[in-house]
Amino acid sequence: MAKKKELARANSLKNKGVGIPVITHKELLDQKELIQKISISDITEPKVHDRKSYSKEDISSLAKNIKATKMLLQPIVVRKVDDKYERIIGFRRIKAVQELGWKEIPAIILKDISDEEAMLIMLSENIQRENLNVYDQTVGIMEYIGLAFDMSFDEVKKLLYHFRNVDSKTIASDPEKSEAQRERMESITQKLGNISVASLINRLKVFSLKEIILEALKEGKVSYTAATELNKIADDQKIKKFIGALASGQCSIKDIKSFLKEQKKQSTPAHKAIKYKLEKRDDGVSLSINDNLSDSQLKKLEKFLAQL
Amino acid sequence: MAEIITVANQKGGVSKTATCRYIADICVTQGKKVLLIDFDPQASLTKGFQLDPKLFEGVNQANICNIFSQEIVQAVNVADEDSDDVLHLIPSNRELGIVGQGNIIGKDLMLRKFIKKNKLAEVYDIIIIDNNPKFDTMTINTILASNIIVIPVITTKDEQEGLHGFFQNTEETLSTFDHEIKKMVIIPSRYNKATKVHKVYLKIIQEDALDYIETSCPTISESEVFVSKAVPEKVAFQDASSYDMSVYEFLKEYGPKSSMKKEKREKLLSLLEEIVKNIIK
Repeated sequence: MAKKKELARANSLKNKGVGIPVITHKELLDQKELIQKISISDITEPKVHDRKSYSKEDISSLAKNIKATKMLLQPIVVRKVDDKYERIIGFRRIKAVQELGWKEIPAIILKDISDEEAMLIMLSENIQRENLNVYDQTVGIMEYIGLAFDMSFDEVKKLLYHFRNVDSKTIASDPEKSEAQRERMESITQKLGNISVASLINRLKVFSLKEIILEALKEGKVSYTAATELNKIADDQKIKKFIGALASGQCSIKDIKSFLKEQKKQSTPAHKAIKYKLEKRDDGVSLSINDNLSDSQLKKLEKFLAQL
Repeated sequence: MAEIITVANQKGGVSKTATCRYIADICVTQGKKVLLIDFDPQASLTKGFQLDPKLFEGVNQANICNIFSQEIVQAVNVADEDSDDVLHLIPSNRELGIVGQGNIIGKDLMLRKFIKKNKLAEVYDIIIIDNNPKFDTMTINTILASNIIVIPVITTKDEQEGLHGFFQNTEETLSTFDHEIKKMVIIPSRYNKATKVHKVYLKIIQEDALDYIETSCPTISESEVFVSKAVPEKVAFQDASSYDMSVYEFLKEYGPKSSMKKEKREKLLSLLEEIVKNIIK
């Protein structure tokens, strides 16, 4: 008791701007966030979806920075699962220090963290980071919704498609079923990534992207808007060329759009067969044309008639 | 205002940490409020309280490196359970050795600034700082934060000559930063009166140290400089450290179990008390 009083005194002094906070040895060990060196080989990957793709150059430059400062300024975040540590935050840092040959890494070890909490920490960290690609972000948010709604990933996808169809009025909404869910989902997506359910629905296109486009999106070579435009191109070779040009900054989305426009024009045949009807009559032939003709077509026709 | 004592010597193994511990314990026994600061990246003082330095690495409220960014640093209560004693420790860790190499403006004055900013001299009666066995930014920091320098030294030729280097560095630090200290106390430590070399060099240190300071260190000689009584090398020191205790605490609590006779124990205890009294008086 006496000891507690003394600590309370020290800490109350601290509030007056005098002295520093004092904790006991036990409190130190019981701290919810314990920072400790852990062995990298004890770190396991999270069960849920996180970033799966990364650029080697990015990791190398991070490794260089860490090498220069000789320490990790920010520890990674893990939670204890059995005798292993499940990574929550710090994918790039782990890769970088592994490159430097470190065996240990400083980590914040969170105690008593539920799956949902762990995922929320992971996602809010990742989603707020600019460089996480739209695909990983979308999958992450959907997995979190799945966890919160107790649904499988496919069920979440289905529900989102359902919302999309309601939005586009192709099906009638079922107020009892979906409105409350939608509201709850809205609060989750706002909390996680500051995006609306509507924009999440809009992002469902990531699941219909061609493999090469999806890869480029994950690697950060193309933006999400560019990816959806590219997906409209049929020719894979052409797509590859565009990805290369987009990544090197030699072309923009505008160029893809004008390419698509051009292609559309070409696919509508310029020289339509002229629909006409020739009828034999006593005084010659009658010609009836049921299409508006362009100037050049008219000229051709005149030439033809003259020949006759 | 608290006395701020730095226990330093650029030589290792001269019992700096043990000295910190017994000064702290004697002061606590007298009812004084004591703060220990482990300013050695090797963290032997921290380990001596059965604290794992790794616990304090990285982004951590109790990371002593926060001193260099003038952020808050937590202290750990290391007093006996259920006692009214005030004995707090700012633990150290390996990173302290790295942070000091960084390019920080005024990095030599960070500890002083930290103590001042948090008004630690008002909260505690005694602040004791342990050092690494070097003379670097860390040592300069502790000297510039203190008003008393305590130098444990071993009574051999090498150590006696090494002392000159330490005096010179201290002189330069004090004069460069225009910092005044109140007192410099040299404590011959781990003294074995049966060893002839020890006997000879104790005498040399007693005469030569003061002489050297008088002639070569004008800034130091403005303060009170003296050589204390020698602290004998006793098994009790090792016993105490294996119990993670100061020799003072060990002799008081486990004395009867130690190999020392009661009379000798009491003699050692009162010798340490006398030394501390002379430092703090």
